[in-house]
Parts: sequence; C-alpha cells; structure tokens
Amino acid sequence: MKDYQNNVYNTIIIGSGYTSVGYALSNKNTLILEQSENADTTFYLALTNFNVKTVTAKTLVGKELLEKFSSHNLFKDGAQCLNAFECALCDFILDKGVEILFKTRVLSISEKDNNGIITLTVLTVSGIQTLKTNKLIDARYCHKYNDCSNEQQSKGDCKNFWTVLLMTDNPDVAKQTLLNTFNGAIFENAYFEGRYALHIPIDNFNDFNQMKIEVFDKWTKAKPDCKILYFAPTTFAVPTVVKNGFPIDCEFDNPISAIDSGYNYALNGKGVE
Amino acid sequence: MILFVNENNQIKSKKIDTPIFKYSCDVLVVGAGCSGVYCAISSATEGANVILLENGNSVGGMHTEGNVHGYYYGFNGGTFEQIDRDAKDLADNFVDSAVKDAKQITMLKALKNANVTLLTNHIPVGLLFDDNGKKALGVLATDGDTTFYIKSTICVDATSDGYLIKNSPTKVYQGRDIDGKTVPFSVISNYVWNNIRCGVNQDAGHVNQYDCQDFSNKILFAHKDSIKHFGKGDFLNLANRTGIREGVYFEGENTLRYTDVLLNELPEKALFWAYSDLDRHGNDRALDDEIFQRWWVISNLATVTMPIAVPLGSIVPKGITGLVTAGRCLSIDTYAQSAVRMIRDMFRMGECVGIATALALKTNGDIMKIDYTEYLKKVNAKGCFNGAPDRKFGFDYPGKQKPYKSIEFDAFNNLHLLETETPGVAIWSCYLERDNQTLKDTLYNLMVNAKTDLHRYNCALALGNAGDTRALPIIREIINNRDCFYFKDCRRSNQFRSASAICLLGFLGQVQDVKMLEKIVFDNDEFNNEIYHTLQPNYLYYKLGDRNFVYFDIWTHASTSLVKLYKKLNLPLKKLNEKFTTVKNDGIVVRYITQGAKPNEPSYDEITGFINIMINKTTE
Repeated sequence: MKDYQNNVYNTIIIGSGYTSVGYALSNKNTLILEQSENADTTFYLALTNFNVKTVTAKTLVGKELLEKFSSHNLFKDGAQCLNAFECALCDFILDKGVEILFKTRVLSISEKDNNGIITLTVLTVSGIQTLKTNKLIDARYCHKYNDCSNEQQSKGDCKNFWTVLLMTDNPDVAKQTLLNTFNGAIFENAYFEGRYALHIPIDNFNDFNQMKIEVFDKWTKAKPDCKILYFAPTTFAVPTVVKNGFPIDCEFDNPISAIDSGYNYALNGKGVE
Repeated sequence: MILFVNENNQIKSKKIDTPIFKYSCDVLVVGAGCSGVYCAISSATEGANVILLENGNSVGGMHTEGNVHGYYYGFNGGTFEQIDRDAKDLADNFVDSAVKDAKQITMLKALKNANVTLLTNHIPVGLLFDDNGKKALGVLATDGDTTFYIKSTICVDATSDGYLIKNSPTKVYQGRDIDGKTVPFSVISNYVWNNIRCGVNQDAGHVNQYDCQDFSNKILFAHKDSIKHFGKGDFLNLANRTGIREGVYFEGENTLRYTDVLLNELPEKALFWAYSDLDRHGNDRALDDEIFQRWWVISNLATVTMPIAVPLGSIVPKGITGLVTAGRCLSIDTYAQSAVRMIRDMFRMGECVGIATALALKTNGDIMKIDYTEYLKKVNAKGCFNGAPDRKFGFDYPGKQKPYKSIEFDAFNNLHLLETETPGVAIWSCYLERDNQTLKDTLYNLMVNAKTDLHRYNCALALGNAGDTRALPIIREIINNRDCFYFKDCRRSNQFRSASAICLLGFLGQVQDVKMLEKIVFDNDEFNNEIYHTLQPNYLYYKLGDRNFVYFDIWTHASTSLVKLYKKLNLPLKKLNEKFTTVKNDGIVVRYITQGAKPNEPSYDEITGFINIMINKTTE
C-alpha cells in the first residue's frame, strides 16, 4: 500500500468531478479525495441532456475527453444521458493516471505549518490516513444533504434538487400534474424518447429520507400519468450565487467546459473565460 | 475507557476519560443495508431504543440502490415479506422492476413506524470499550461536520465489510488461506430494455478493498468496463455504491466452516438458517481448498443449493460483549461466506440479530448468554429462523426457471448418474463414501466395462475422488486427450473435464504424471493446442473481461497439481521455482491468457498474482 504518511502532494482537492480532474491533469502530483464511489458526482446526479453539437473544447484535455466520449460512441444522436459519461470519465482518469481515492471523509484540516504544509486527517477504506499537501482546494459546493463540511469554504449559494426519472406517453399531462404538486419543480426531457426528469426543490426539507417519504406520498395522491423509472441516489446543487475561486462542475452545463475550466484554473488561477 | 481506531489498517488504542455522549441508545446498528434495516426494525419492535447509522443517504443498500434482485432467493419467512407486499402495493407508480425504489420508501416507513432513529451520512470513526477492552460501549462517529460519541449497550456491525469489527480488538482474517484474496465487490450498471429496468453485475476482480488505492483503482476499472455493456439497452446509471460481497471475517465464539455445511455438522445453537449455493466468485479455483475443489471442480456441484445453519456464536467476536455482526461479516470461512449473503438471508439474519440484541439487553449485551429457548420462540413466531425446515441439498433455480430437485448423496443409488452428462452428485457421493471398498471395487468394474467414453470417464473421476489410484490410467487419458467435454450439472460455472481431471491428479498423481503436467505448464507449444483456440465454452464466464479461459483453467490447475506432486514426491522445488520465475519474467503465459491486458487490469492481476503464488509455494 502506498506510503501516504511520507508523501507531500502539490495539491489535494476535496471532491471529484470534471473540474478536479482537469486541474489534476495540469498540476501533477494532485490527489483527489471523493466521498462517494463515483468520479462524476454532479452531471451524474442531474440526469439531464448535454448536446455535443453545441460544445467546443477549449483546452487539450477538453479535446481529449471529447475524443474519449466519441470513441465510446456516446454521441449517437448528438445527445446522451450524462450518466453514461461517468464510465468514459473513469477510462480517461485511468489513461491519464489521475490519482483519486473514493469513499473518503475529511475529519480534520490543519493550519499550514512552518514549511507551508497542510495536514489532513482522512477516513478511508484503509482506516484513518494522514495526508500532506502544499495546497488544498475544497471543491464541494454547499450541499445540503450530500456533503458540506465547511460552509466558509463553500463556493456560493445554491438551490438543491432531487431528481426523479420517469416515463410517460403523455408528457404534457404528467408535467402539469407534477408541477402543480411540487412547487418550483423543473420538468424536462431526459435522454431517449419518452423519458423525462423531474427536478424537485428540496431546500425546505430538513431530512432527505423524510423528504423521500413526503414526496412519494404527494406523488401517489396526485396520480400523475407516468411511471417512475429511477430515484436519483442523492441531490444536486444549482448555483445561485457564484463567487470567485476554484470552478465547480455544477457551474457548467456540460463536462467538457468543466474540465477545460479546471485545467485552466491550474494554469492561471482562472476558469474558462 | 478505551477508544479503538483503525489507522491505516492497524488497530490503535488510547485510554480516554468518559466522554460526553451526543446520543444514547440500547442498540446501535451500523449500516442500513439489507440486514441492518431489518435488525433495527426487529430490535426496536422488541422494545429496544435503536439508532441506525448509515454512511450513505439511503436504506436497503445495493438491493435498493443497485437494483440487485438476481440474488433474491433463499427462504421466505419474516418481516421482509410484509415490506415486500407493501412495496408491491406501490408498484403501479413505477416502471416494472424499478419497484426497488418503492421498497426503499416502504423500508423508510417501517423504520419510522418502529421508532428507529435513522442517521444517514454518518459513519463511525472508532469504537469505544471499557477499560478491559472486553465490552463495547459505543462509537465515535462523524456526520461530515463534527465528530461525536454515541453510547449503546450493543453495537451491531451490519456493514458487510466488517467496518466496526476492524475498529475493535478482534482477530480478523480475509479471503482464502493461500493469499488472503477475495473478489469482494460488484459494480452494477442499470439499463432500460423494453421498458424494464435491468442491471448487469460487473465484478471488479481480486481486490484488497481495505487498500484505499487498490479499492479506488478497481472502481475506476469496473466503471470503465461497464462501457462494454452499452447498447444492451438504454444506459441508465451506475449504482452509486459497490456491492460488498466479501470482507473480513473474524475469530468468533463459534465459526461456520464450509466443511460443516458440506458434511452436515450442525451447531449447538443456530442463529438462523440460510439457503444458498457456495457462490464463490473469481476464476482461479486451482488455489482453493482441497475439499472445496473436490466439491466444485471434480464433482462439478457449484450451484447446488443447501440449507446452512449459521451458529449464534458466529456473530459474536471471541471474548467480547456488546458488539455483534449482522449480514455478511461473520465468524466464517471464505467459502461458507460466499453462501451466507443472499438478499432474503440478509433480511432474515438481520431480523434474527435484532431479536437477539433485544434479548441481550437483559444480559448486558452478551449474546451468548441470552435465553435461547425464548429466542427460538420469538424467531419462530416471526418466521425468520428457518423458512423451510424440510429443504435439503438440491438443484434450485432463482426465478423458478426450473422445478426444485432435491439430492440424496447415496453413492450406490447414484451410480446410474455416471452414465449421464450430469454425474456430479455421484462423484461427490463417492467422495463421501470413500472408505467403502465395495463401492470402489464396483466403480472400478463399471469403469473397465463401460461401453462409452462418457461412462468410463465419469467412473474414473468418481473412483479417483474416492481416492483409488486405479482411476489414474483413465484420468491420464482424459488429460492427454485435452478432453473438451463440459459437464452439465449446474446452471452455470460448469467444469471442463480436463480441468477436473488435472485437479484430481494433484491429489492422486504419481511420479510419471510430473512430466505430463510440466509439459502443460512450461512448454509454450501447449498453447498451440487446438482446444485453446477453437473451443467455445458453453457456459458464461462473464466476470472479468476478455481472456482465454480454457487455457487459464488448464494452466492454473496443472500448475497447482504439479506443485502438490513435487511436494508429495519430495522432488526438488528449486527447479520448479526457477521455471515459474521464468514464466513470470518472459510474460508469455500472461500474454496468452489475458490476450494483452495491461498491469492492474483484473485479468492481468489475477494471472500474475497466481504465478507469484506458485513462486512463493516453491520457495524452499
């Protein structure tokens, strides 16, 4: 097993995603710590479309990622479920040798010592590890139910949504019923014919699981003309106020722009202009 | 008090003053998967004050999050039946098999109705013990923002991979004896096909899931590999968690061994009865235990299902009170562990553990001291103890694809099976009755008088499995022919007859067999043999990507049999060691088997790991 104790990373990023991977490809000796077991935790959750025809890669890594997506035939009809891109992103990470640890929890972060080194105490599948870095980036957006361990480091304000994927032959009727049932919800086409995503705002709930019960009770009472295909495993954030700093996936509408931005940030401290 | 913490897979302890507890409860269940949910519900229903801690933010584990339902066999009986019915009542709202999401809702409601306090996104950081390190008192946990203490009379580790156990002063083991390896988890890809949600299990290969780097790399590989399933339907998602199949097991008050199961040794006090096959994953059966090989490889009985009496003491770490397990992490061996992990079994085991923990509140958390008569009364009333007491060994089929067929291991009554393509029950029966000379003489006469190759070869395997060297000429014939017959006993994982014969030769072989095995293992021309290129297995090896499985099977079994013979015959191991080292260095066998896989890919790791084991086993 790797000797983490005696290794000092140039950068540790808390939170995986396309921007984090982009940064790591520009700034070598970067470690990404991810709480979940998915490399992409934003586009994966939103279940929305991304039209490749409208996207232009602005960096070399963006172009390579686009080629990776294409090589896996993910753009058959110009658009595809973003969940599928998670698989291609993992392939990309392996190709590029980006270092990422899944299923981690940051327990504590030290101040910089006299040598400018920050020490993190991190819970991993190997137990508690002590990790050292010259620079720390917290790429977690303020996220009500997922992970927001340090509000002060959060990027800005956001709204949180929970997505239910559904199928219907009568989208107009289902949409009307669901939007009447769930105030502030967003109904949109998902990938593939007859699939739709309902994004339900959840900031008024204190408990994610209680929310599931209440949403479902409302759902069954409303009897919308549709069938549920899938509950998203957790929620996703949509930024309402974005502050300067490290770019985060949820600020972008597609993975290519996100990885471009992370890459550029490592080069010049700015995301994509 | 003493706080035990797992630091880099080393248990560290420190004495602390009695802390301030943020929460206090009778029973703290860690892990809201299939067993944890039912443990919490039943313990609370029995009157305990229960907290259920979950690392993620859902309940039901891979069953609900991963849409895993292919393992939904096992006995009926218990609270899960009502929750299943409640979920079915909601099914109209869902697309067919998406009803797993409905079950998550019904589980959440059941937890709420039982007054269980569910704390999601919480994970223990350490385990609190008394000053003697013998009685667990609670945990140190984090919710991501802060760390705090939870006090409990009993902690239940329902995490599958022994998360709490690894934070305790308990002796733990992992994987098979030879190298500690497991094939511990699957990644699930979900698809929509014909308006039905379906999933594919993608095994991640041999992984040390307690090595954070190895674990993370193998997740990346498994997610990447899911690409190959694109096009089977409309891709929906990757499950947001791995399904842990096997983690650590531990030294308990009682231990369940697979030999107890196969040889019908029953525990004095059972926790409950599971029901499954020995569902061993991975492909290198050549490294498994002798009796397991005689069952799986030589007798080809991989998918025979059986009732398994799980001992009460297998959930209790030896010498420790206030800490028990529920679910896949038990005091058990790696082979039996593969059989005590089916979804319904996890539900029923969780319910039984919940009842036991509620009773143990009268014994200060000592499960071994509960009133077992009262326990049996309660679990039998719930129906979760043994759903089918008359069920024995048999061929069972998930989804009721075929009727259940029971098995009696009576050698003489099974001899007719040796004339068929499904001789496994007879071959195993002959092993069980290997001390019966009349049986062996009968087998020998059947073998020499057999009118078909099928009958003669099957008789030889049965006679050989009974330990009689008179089978050897025919065993050698099977191997020399590189016989390409596949048995048909099982619904999957059937054996290639040459591989069965080579495996048997490891137990039975003589000095003249060394040369034959050396040719298979060390002569690269072996790969030019037609069978490695033209034979298409009629069973599905779907787990670990593309490779030449026929060559893998033959080569690995020949290697281990060769090492066994060298040791049995006191031949110079140094020579063998040099040859295996050459195999490792020239990389030819690895290339032939993996067909070009790169280092760290599961198929590459598996065969290079195997060669390293051969080198280690021949190092004097």
